[in-house]
Amino acid sequence: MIGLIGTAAIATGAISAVWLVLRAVTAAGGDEAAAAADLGAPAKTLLASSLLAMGALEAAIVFNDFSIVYTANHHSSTTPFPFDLASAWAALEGSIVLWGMVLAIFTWFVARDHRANRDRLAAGALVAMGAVAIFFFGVMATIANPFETCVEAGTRSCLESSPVPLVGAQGPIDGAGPNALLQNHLLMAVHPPLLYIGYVGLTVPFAYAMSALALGLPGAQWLRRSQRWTVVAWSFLTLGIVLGSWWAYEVLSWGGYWAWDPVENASFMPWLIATAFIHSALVQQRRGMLQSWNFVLVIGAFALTILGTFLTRSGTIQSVHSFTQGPIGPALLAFLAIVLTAGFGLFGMRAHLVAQPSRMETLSSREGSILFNNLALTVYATVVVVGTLYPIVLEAFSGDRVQVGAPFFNRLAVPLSFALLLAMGVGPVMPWRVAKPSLVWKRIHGPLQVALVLAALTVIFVTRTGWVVLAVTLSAFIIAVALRHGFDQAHRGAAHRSTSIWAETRRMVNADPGYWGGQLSHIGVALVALGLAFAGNLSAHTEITLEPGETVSFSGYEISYEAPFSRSEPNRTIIGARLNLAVNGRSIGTVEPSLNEFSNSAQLIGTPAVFTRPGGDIYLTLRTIPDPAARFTLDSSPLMWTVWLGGITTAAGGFIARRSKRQARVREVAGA
Amino acid sequence: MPDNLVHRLRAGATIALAAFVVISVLAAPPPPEDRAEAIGSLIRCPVCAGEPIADSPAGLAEDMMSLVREGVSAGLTDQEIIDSVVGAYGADAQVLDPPFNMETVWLWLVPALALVGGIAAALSRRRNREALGS
Repeated sequence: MIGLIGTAAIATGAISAVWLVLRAVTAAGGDEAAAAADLGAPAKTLLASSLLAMGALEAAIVFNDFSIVYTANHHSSTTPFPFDLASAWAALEGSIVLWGMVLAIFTWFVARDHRANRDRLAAGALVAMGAVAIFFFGVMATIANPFETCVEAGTRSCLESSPVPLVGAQGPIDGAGPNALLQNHLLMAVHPPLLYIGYVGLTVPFAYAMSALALGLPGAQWLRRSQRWTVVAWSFLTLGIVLGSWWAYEVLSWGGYWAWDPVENASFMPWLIATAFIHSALVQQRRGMLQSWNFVLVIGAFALTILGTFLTRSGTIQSVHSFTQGPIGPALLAFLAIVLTAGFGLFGMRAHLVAQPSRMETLSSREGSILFNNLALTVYATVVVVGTLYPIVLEAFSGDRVQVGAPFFNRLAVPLSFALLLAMGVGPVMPWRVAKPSLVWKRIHGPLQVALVLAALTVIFVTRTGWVVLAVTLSAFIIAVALRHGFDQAHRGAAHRSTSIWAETRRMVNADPGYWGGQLSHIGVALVALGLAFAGNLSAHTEITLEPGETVSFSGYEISYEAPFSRSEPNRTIIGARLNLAVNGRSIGTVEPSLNEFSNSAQLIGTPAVFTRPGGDIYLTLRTIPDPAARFTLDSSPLMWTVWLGGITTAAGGFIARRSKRQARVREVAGA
Repeated sequence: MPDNLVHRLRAGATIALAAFVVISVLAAPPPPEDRAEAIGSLIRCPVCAGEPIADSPAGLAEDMMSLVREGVSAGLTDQEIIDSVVGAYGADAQVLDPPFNMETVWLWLVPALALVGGIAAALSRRRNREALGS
């Protein structure tokens, strides 16, 4: 029954996507009266059917309906909450359902924008949204159907399936359960939806850009109408990447958080280009420049989300993340080709309509600094794309295998990151048009001194490692510039209007949330850089074997192995070691690194213990625990927590900037 | 005049601080390098995709690391150690840092072209305007 409802929902979704495209094409292609036509009905039907499909999948899981292949193969009645709900997107078919639902929600928001404006631009954007929805709902209905019926059951999975609902349905008594790595930490339940909101949200600016090009309506209108969704998508993408790397740190037992794994790169590539786009969109809105470039960036960002999905979901790359394989690969690759051809083809045909107005007066200006930011981000993205694709392309064409790993990426990414940090510190206090060196110097001199004092203290008390000192200097500089600028402005406003500085700060942020949200994001990135530099350069690592009662010293901690323990949970058996941590003879806490035996996995999955103090983390991994001695890996990661705090701060800045009211106040500088 | 003096003193203090930091960093003794870890971070662990053997908890990676350590204590060069590990563990134990040769030339060339092209495009935006005489 659930399968029948789900299949019907997907079919309805596919049909309403076609319906939406047909209606929206008529509206966008006609006159003003035609453009005002109501497009709400197909958009709402699409939304309703996608919610129903997701709901049916969750219901199949919650009610343990193992006659549905997806449930049989990726869920088990012992999977605990909330990992059972997360099973709905733990594998390919379910993740496409989630994708479709997020896309339908964004499509509904675009339909609301159309209802508010009744214009061709929004109608055209709905054509593009609908076209993308046709692809994803089409995939769901055919090659990645999550509601296929099981017609021959094995003991814990399905052996033979049929796309026809209910026909000869039978299921195993219990399902296989999700991949053990996916049910070992809460972060894995929330990380994929956040990432998907980010990925799919980038469809909105892409749709508006396509509409503007197709209808011959360049100018900044498409930017303004999609800006909010670009920033929302970017914020979710940021959060998704940060929580994904936090998950890797908390679960994968190697003390690392970022390995330049192709699947990590898949989410990082669109993030880099979306970041460049958010900045260059500002230049177009304020100064009318970079109009063509913004089309290139938005098409690139969207194409990279599809490329990322291809890398993640096709099994093309063997990696710790590639849990799925199937016919989806060629379909996504074909869709990517269509996106690139349609996107850049349309852009090429309409390039003559895009205005090439005012030129930059000097590179020493806000727009100059953003140009620098765009150059660095684009080269950065190129490095990540080339490094990620090179081994695949080389193997496909010559059969030779080459590894492109962390050493390659770090060599190029580290200098680019520092260049970006520098731009992040100076750029936001440079005025538009022309920044007089004396004014810029006045704004940065104090913060520069603060940064240098902190750098000197680092040199004296912490380390003389060059990268760390440079990161301290630039991070402190960025934070000090932002805080000083904010405090100055609030202080002056408070004196002028005789209000409190807090009231003035709130007023200031509300008056220009785009700028101050952006500054908060910059502070977040500075914290991330600080944490990465410390954890990456000043970490310590050792392996030890301890018997119960023995104590070892490591990185200023005395670590005593107290006793082994074990306990059973419905989906796993936990075998662990209890250790006491002490500093200078004073006990500060107990940790329990463990190994988990999942019923559906031959491999033991470790749960490292992470103990966080202001100075950083101590990271304990249990390797083996034969009686009586146990073997541990100990890692210290100084200031690791600033990476997570910084990442969340970066996303928070985006959520504030989402409310940007700047566009209402600023006249369009040059547009069609 | 005193204003000017304050200015100069502040600028002087900034320069002195910067000089102190830069000289301290440049004059710092090189950190005691763990050669085995450094070499181990360049070799891919065959069973863990993307992770270097230095970081991986896998048993095979640990065996490979001990081979690296033997090489270090035997006084072999980095390349000799890498060759011996790759030789012993076959084609899957590849070096994570791609070599520079005809096959990988585009790996380096494409980012370089993006950088050069980007700089040229950025500068031309400005030059054109100067040519127009503003």
